[in-house]
Amino acid sequence: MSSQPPSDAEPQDEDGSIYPEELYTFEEFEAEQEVLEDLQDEMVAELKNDIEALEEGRRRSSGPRRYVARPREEANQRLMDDYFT
Amino acid sequence: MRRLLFLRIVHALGEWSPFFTLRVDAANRPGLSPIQKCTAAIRQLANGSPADQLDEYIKIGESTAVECLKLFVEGVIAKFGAEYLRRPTVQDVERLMEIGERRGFPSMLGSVDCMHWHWEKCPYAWKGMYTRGDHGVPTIILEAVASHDRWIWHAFFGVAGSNNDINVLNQSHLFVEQLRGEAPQVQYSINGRQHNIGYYLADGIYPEWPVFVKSIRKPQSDKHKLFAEKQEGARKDVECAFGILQSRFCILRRPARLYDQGDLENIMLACIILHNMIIEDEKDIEQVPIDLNEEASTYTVQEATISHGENPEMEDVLNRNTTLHDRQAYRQLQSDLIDHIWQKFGNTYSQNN
Repeated sequence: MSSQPPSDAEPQDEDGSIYPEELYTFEEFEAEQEVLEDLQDEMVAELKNDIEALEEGRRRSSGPRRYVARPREEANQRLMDDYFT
Repeated sequence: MRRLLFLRIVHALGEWSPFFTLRVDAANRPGLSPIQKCTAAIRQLANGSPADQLDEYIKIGESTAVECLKLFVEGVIAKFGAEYLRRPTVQDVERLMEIGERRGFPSMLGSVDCMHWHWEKCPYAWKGMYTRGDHGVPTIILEAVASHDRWIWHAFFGVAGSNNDINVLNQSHLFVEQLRGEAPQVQYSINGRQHNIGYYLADGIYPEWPVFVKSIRKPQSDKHKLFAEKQEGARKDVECAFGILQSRFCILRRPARLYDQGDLENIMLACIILHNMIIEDEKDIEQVPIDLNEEASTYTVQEATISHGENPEMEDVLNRNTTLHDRQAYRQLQSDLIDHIWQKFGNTYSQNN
């Protein structure tokens, strides 16, 4: 994904058959690329966060609840056996 | 606590509230049995264990265990409070006086003192009110009267920890029955003089009223030394009772972890009631041996003659109040007791020294 913006930008520049160096200096082009890459990383991270939050929310709000088995009858039996026989 | 006593409590609580009966849930699955619930409550009282410790063995949830504890103490007070935290009846007073007479204190009804219980969850804003320098932590005070068999006859709990014993006494209901004229009437003679108020042994801070007998600070003569020795020895009853109460119910020795003062009061009273039940169950109640060589007893106990209805006559109450606070009578009683004890135990004392 990170290689897309350069490939997008290059054809546009070539369409007009203008030497890009006349419009941009190489330094300017690099700076722009950097800005775009930063933006892209940011968006990806944001999306990832959103997806994770959604997945977690789904796990909490619905789906089967988890129970801890508490065998109280057995505990009662054991208590009676231990102390009340 | 023996098993039979425990089962008796479980049974009585089942009558008191359906919470302590075996019920089934909607799926027809039986819930926690009353024995499980009472075991949980007793374990918290006796071991001072945290509520969630019981999950392992009894399989009872933490919040359920706390609920069990609160309802258990409430039920114990409701079912057994009237019998096991009663004011001394005529028979009780007679027995107490007989024991007292053997120990050189005829007509002694017990010894009185205060105990503090650390309240860990005391609200921060109240900390100043509940803290006293000698304890350094928020506490609540229990005032109690105990007799030689460690039975606790009177319990007054809930005064903020910064008070001293006199302030607690002023708030307590120790003498209310006496002021209303409903306490058993006592008559006895010491050293040839007639007295008619039963008294409690107390330590130094208590006021000089004829209802308290205090020790003598720095006694000089042999007579006074003997009296101080005997008084201090007999007053230890209440300290021993506190010690036994705390070791039976460890929750009272540890900082209290409940937030509500009312719950703490219930727990304290229930522990005292259970303590008395255990004493009765284990037959620690002192039986007075018949000794024909003893001189005939010099006291009489009578049922109070209540001449008033719900509200006693104000004038009578004031008169009784004055007799309770009579400092002259206190001095008289003390000097009589000093002579009495010297006559009774003086011989052995001079031989030993």
